[in-house]
Amino acid sequence: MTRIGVIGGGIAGSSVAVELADAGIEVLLFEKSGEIGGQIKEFGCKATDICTRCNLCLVDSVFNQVRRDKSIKTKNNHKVIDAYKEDGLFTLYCDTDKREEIYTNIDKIVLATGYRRWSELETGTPEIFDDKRIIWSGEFEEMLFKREDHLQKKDLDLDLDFEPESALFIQCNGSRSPQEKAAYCSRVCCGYNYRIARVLRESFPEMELGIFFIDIQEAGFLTDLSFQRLNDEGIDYYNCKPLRINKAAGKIEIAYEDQQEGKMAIAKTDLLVLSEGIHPGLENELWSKLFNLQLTDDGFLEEIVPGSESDVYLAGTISGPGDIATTISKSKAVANQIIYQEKEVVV
Amino acid sequence: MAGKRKFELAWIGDKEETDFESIQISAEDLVACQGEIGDFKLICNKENQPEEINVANIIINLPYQEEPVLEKADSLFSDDYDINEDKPVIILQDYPELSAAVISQAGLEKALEIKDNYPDKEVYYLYQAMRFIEDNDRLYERARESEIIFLKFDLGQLKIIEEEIIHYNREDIDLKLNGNILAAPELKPAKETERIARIFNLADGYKEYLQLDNIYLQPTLSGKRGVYLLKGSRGPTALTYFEEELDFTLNEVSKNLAGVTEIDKYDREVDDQKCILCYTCYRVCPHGAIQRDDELNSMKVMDLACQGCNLCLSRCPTNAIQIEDDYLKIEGENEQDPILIICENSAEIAAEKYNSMVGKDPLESYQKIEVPCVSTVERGQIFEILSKYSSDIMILGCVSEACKHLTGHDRCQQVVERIKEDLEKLEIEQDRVHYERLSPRMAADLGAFLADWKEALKQ
Ligand code: SF4
Ligand code: SF4
Ligand code: SF4
Ligand code: SF4
Repeated sequence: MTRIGVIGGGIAGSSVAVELADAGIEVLLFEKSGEIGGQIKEFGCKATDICTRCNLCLVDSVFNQVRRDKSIKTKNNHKVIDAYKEDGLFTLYCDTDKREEIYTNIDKIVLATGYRRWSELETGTPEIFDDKRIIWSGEFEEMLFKREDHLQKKDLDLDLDFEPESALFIQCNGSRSPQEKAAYCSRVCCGYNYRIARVLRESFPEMELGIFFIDIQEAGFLTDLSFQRLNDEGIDYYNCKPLRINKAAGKIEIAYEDQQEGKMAIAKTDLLVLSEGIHPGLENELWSKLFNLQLTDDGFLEEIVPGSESDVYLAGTISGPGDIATTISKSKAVANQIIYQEKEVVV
Repeated sequence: MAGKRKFELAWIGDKEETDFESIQISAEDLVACQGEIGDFKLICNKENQPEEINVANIIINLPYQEEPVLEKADSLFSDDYDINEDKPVIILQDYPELSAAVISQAGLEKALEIKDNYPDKEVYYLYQAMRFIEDNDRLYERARESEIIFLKFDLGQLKIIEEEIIHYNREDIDLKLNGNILAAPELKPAKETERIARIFNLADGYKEYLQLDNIYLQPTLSGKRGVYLLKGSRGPTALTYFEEELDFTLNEVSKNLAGVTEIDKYDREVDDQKCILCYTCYRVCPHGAIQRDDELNSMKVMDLACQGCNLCLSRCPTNAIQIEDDYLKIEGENEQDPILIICENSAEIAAEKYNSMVGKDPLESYQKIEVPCVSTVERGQIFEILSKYSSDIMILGCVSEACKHLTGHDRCQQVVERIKEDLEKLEIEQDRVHYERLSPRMAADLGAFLADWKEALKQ
């Protein structure tokens, strides 16, 4: 009987586990925290009058199936710290709350340990975050997770101790900037913050809304995001990176260069939301050593030899930024590769 | 029929290299599709030679139609473009609208190609937003270093004055550019899309593409099992992650070849004595799972294709479709309790989540009917409940475009509206029937909402 070790119980690892289990393959799912679900466990629905394709609808049925399926053995509080391969089989060493546990006879490994948010990195300028008027988009997600406005037809509860009359979003914060060690575009934050802005627009028609960005990206399956749309929805946009954030009394001031007029200008806001981007996970370096994988310049992982030869597969944002739908479909593709090989062996 | 052949995979339109035993069929030759995943029968008519081809999986991969945005400009995708000795080259990426991400990549490649071949040529690059896929953040960096002149514009900052002259006005730059323009074409749905949609009985897609705008179909599903959509058949952004989409699709095909099982555990049988061949079930089935059975002269449900929504059962005028599951069963202890009709894909998941967060079942002290899709709600059923029970009915469906059975939410909305009209005519309180939509992520909302509703009903 084949045993697959999936490391990481977020949406990537869980999607792989569910597909494998459906095909009758035994899965050991190692999750370092106390429960599966990963980063998106507490992200919230971004529907307005319509679904804005944030894709969170797709995830809970996957997590529920992981919890129910008997051929998936979930090991919570298991942090994989070492591994070796002998006679074609892997042995994994895990740190648990109590002691070290060893798992042997694992045929293949799927690495799905995900990403870190900018707020989890040790770089940056922490001092600006003492200000309660400045929040991460991740904190917004948590507010949306608790939202009670949709069915109850109320205003969105912002869970802030003030009532903002204006909100500004800053994109590419922590991405596309070599200083922050992330020269790449995270590809998801434009779409996510635009969705959040729309939720605010729906709930607070009077609120002043604006987004600072360098280049607005395609928002996954939300295909018609454009300047014209932003205009139509009354969301201002500033097509530039802000130069300075000034935590003035009253409103926060953001200095920027007005491209239209060609001079310096200042935007003022009650609430400032910073995008977080997708950054390489802490474990990537360890995996690259243990499983002979390439660490890219940006810190993500790439295969050196294909999984069918190394028996090590990568799923989800461990190999680079991606949205929820892309993560799920890529993870399914990884699982299907494994399933196909297994069936070939049987035949 | 000239003959029968069997393949693992059929490409309708363009073919990609694979290890599967595959056949390429042109969209024009295809006339009909029968059968289901694992065993489709494609009827082709090539030069009046009818042929039946058996295939296990189908990928529809038709190219976009490219529509030029400026008459005299060359296409950004063309390798055959004019380079005029004295004039600069102008690459126009986002006119009149923002282009899909793949066009940023094509534009950057083209600009670099020209700069490599003609190092002294002035190359202008006009764009609204640089879109990043694959490695084009690196391409962009390289293009900047190679002295390509990037000019970014916002709404209203770029005008085409005459066919070849572009007026760019932003900040203190006021430029009239006259040169060889390479413009991004507008990408339109593939030819034959409408005919193909009818052949496969697919619902109307997004902006005349074949794929419906629904989160459950990502990335390349069509709603019908075993039929996949790529490129100009799928949607406006199908090239952004084309490699990934192709990879996903081919891996799905591999999995299907390793064995397909039924999604829903119940069988649905059509009683050929009752079926009047009205084709209602054929039209409403969101998954293309109903076909005519020529031998019995009735319809039949294809068990592998069926995804268990029960919409066909609820709409059949003669109750010809039978199922062994009592799917309309009302569960509950107290007949006085209000009745919830909830979808297993949204409200049920949200309720479970609320329970695990708060430690309280929000559906407690309600009578409930759990349905695979609220589209199955029909007038007869609601009137029966209204006459039998004294309590209100709350139907909880899914947010639009996030319905697993694709069109369910809207169908339910229509039915509820009609029921309300009837109730009004009959002068029965029309507000005994309620309809709301939610997503599985609205656990907190659902918990609070149901608690409030119960309070309101008590008063
Ligand atoms: S916005 Fe997201 S969670 Fe809400 S309905 Fe749409 S996909 Fe589902
Ligand atoms: S997705 Fe948008 S916000 Fe995020 S890094 Fe890319 S351009 Fe910047
Ligand atoms: S139950 Fe749904 S998917 Fe199955 S045949 Fe009927 S309408 Fe189609
Ligand atoms: S809806 Fe009923 S009567 Fe009409 S074709 Fe289908 S099975 Fe026959």
